[in-house]
Amino acid sequence: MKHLILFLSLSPVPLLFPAPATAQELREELRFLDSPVVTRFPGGGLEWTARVHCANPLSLQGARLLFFLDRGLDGAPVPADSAALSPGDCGGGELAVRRVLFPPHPAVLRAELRNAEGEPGGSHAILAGGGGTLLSIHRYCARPRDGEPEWIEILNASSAPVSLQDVRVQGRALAGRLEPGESLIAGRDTASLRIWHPGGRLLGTGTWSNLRNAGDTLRLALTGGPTLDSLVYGSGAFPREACASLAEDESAAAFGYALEPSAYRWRRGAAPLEIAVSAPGRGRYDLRAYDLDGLELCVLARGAEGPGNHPYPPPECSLPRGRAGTVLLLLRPRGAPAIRTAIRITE
Amino acid sequence: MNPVVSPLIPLVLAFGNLLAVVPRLPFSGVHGATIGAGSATGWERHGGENPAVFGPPGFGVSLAGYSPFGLDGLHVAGLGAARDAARWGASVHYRGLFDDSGRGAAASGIQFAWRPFPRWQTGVSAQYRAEGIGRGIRAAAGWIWNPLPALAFGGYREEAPSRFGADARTGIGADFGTRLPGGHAWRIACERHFGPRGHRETRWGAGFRFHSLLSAYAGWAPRYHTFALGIRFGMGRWEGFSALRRHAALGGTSIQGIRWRKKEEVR
Repeated sequence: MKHLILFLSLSPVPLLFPAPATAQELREELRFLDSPVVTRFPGGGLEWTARVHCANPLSLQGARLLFFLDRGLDGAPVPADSAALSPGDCGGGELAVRRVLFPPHPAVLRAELRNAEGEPGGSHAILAGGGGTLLSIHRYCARPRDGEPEWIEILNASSAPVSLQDVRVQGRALAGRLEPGESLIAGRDTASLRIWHPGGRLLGTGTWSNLRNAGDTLRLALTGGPTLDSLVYGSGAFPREACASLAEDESAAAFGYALEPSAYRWRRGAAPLEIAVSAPGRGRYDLRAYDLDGLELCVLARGAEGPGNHPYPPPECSLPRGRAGTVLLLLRPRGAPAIRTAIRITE
Repeated sequence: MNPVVSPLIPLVLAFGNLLAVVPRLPFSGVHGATIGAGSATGWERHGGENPAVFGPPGFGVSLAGYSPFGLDGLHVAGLGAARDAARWGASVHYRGLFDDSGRGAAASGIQFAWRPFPRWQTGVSAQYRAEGIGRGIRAAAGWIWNPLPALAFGGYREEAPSRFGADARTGIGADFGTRLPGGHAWRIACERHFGPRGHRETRWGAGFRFHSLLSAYAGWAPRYHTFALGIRFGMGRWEGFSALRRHAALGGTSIQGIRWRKKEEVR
């Protein structure tokens, strides 16, 4: 008898009759093959489609696809829908799943695979309701002056409290909680923000990546999750740009002007320093460089028209106090407010 | 940046890499409002260009600072201490440019002035500058002549080592003023400064004393497209200075300063 068992264990019989999949093998196979495709309908409905990996169809036995709605981003999602997965629907190593959902309110919709034992597998999260319907980038300041810091205002656009614990703006972590309709202003530090927003709710992120004057993309997202809202601005005027240091009708950006050096710290001998000026097609402007005492060092452009790149320093420019230091660039458009920026030049 | 906080921030920032050049225009004391006018004839000692300046017997310290044109992240600070006797005076001073990362430039020095003859003052100074364009010592010598109480003339010459290039400077100036009934007084100054590469600049300054505790000052520097107004106010051994400079293109700069001085009786 022992010899029979040994013979059977060594024989090709196991190849003809493969052993059933272990529980470990079942867990590893429950995953999505790619991100879901979401089609949104007017009225708030959405069609959710994804492919589930099923190289071993038996892994789908007893498995389910569960949908949760996380309205408050507080880690307490509410079950929204579910679908049973059938091994018989598996073909070619994958199973296509399609669900039509009607989320009753803006929230993060999380789809999660669970095996027969209820253990979670792959998951995906999307924003149900569209960008800005849960948390939104309400206003921002990317081109401040007179010492105002850059900032982004986040608004709770939903009708329920939302936690900011897992939310990031421009990659910087937020904290706290917003009640419906409440907003907070995020920037580098609260001390400088409070000077310009004395009555507002403020949040200092500690670090900040300077927003480009000529245009940038602002992002508000869940940590490791979907984008909650995004905003793209260019060099022109944008209604949600609301620097306190700029009256709405005084912004040079409102007239289509912007100033962008190729580097804010430039070493002589490195790649040439170019000063890019954005301007309307017939917009005229002067571009000058000053030192920190206000002494005019050189004129890069006088009566120039339209957008262009200006090298610094121009050949006719001499810097009377050496060739290194902090230089202030001033763009003075005709009929529009001036723009200034500082660059650091080293030897 | 809050102009009250601005002068204090550079004091707590560490010395770092030197990437910039310290702003040259004087800003300590009344110079904040006169844009350096009166420097050649000794309106202020700290930060002034003429080393032939000393005050009444006693000792004191001063502090001033600003953010150039309100630019976020840039701060300039000046600190000085002085000791004066009946016929001589000495001081040390420091001026630095900082950004929020602690990098910037610095200039520190010593100054000694004395009165060899009645109505004459002369002085010398040495300054060590560490800036993006190089490091080295600058030396200056100056003189002030008061032929009349209401009239003063002054001049200086500052030399720099070759590593700074042709950066020698010369200045000459005059001021005139009188006392008025009621303890009031006024004074005006005009001076001309010459620098490298044909640099020329004229500065105008004026001051009016309403009371021993309150004076107003104004300055105009056409080459720098800047006009300024300010006040000096004091109580006891303390004096405060507040000025606003306005550049025609770059905007305003608020300068704040404070000074403590203890006078000594001359025996």
